[in-house]
Amino acid sequence: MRAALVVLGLVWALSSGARAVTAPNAVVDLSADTLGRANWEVGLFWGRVARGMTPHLDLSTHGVAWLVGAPNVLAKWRFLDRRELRASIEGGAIWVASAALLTDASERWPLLLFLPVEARASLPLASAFELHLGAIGRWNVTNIPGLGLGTASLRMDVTLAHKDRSGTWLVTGRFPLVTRASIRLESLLGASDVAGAIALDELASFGFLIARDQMLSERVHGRFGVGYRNTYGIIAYESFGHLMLTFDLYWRHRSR
Amino acid sequence: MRALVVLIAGLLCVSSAQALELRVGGDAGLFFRGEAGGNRTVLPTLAPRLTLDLPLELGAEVLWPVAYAPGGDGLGAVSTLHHRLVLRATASLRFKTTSFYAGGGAAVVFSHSWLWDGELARAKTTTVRSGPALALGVDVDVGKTRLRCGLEGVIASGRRDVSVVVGASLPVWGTR
Repeated sequence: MRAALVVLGLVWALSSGARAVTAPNAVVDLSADTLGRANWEVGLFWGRVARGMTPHLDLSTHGVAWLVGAPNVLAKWRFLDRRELRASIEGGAIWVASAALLTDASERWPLLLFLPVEARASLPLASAFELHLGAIGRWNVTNIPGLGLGTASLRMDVTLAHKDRSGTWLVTGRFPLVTRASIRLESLLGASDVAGAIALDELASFGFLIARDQMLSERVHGRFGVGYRNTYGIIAYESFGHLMLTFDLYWRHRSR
Repeated sequence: MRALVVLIAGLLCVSSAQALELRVGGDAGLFFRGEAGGNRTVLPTLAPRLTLDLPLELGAEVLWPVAYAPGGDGLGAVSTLHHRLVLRATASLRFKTTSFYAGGGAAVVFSHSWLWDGELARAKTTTVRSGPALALGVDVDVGKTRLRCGLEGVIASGRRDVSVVVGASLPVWGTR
């Protein structure tokens, strides 16, 4: 408890009040920036809807996940907003409620839960260049009758961004670090349960991406990127073999 | 050798706005210890660090990272304490309050292992290796506090240990 109070005190001492409004060409998903009060962002492909509740706090949800029975909510808090450094933390939960369809009503409630946490820092460099650092953690908990699975992964992102009037050029390095998986299997034959855990380093799965975030109009942004991943990732989600592709369209509304 | 001494003396005598500064801090992160066969064991690591900032964006650092791998409670469990002494020189490229640094030097790597028989250590071994140490990362000055995020590596006996760390340091002495 004391340690938490000390950390909060340090954050309060280092932080300052709201500075400039987030720029219209800000790359909110890769940086420590937030949307700003009463501003909206809607993504076309994953149905991500985000709203700036205060100058330092965004709430968001993925609409497509709701359609498949996975309620979810995420919150991003920019707790440090100084000239030298901006820092934020984002956390949330995605609950796959539709997993209940896997069992009958007599079984205990199955649980499929995804907990993402992202800590990001943005550092201004010379001219219009900025460096964005991110530590992305994912915890997956699977608990269905007779089987318990848990995975935890950690990845680091490093992005060099150059802003201009019509958008932003991005060069991103993605560095998966480690994945830890644990399993608990209830015995079917009356013997003892089986449990174990393994941690694997994923340094060899690094990748690099070059992308352009282009303002197509005052409110519509498009992003296209191409890159290389050193190892094959999950097809279409992470990469197509060694090739990484990213494409997105999103609408951003800034209140007057 | 004489030329090196003269060069170092010249650097120390340079009169500039950025003179000498001694900083004390620490790093925390993940230590990926290289194992035989190319696999890596992932362990949390802590490291106290002493940094001497020199003129012309140069510097010298001494740090002592420590990582512990518990072996569990069973008979025949092996616990290992990894620690190393790293001495390196650094050079920085500064953009306003942010600077990119690169470092190179040497490390002496110690590994102490205990073979447990219940609560008693049946056997203990110590291995010592040495090799080059490299570092790459970014520092940002927030007031007097310098925050760091970096990648470090040691190559010894054909194995490559890698660490990803975040850290902070504060000035304790200096002429800046």
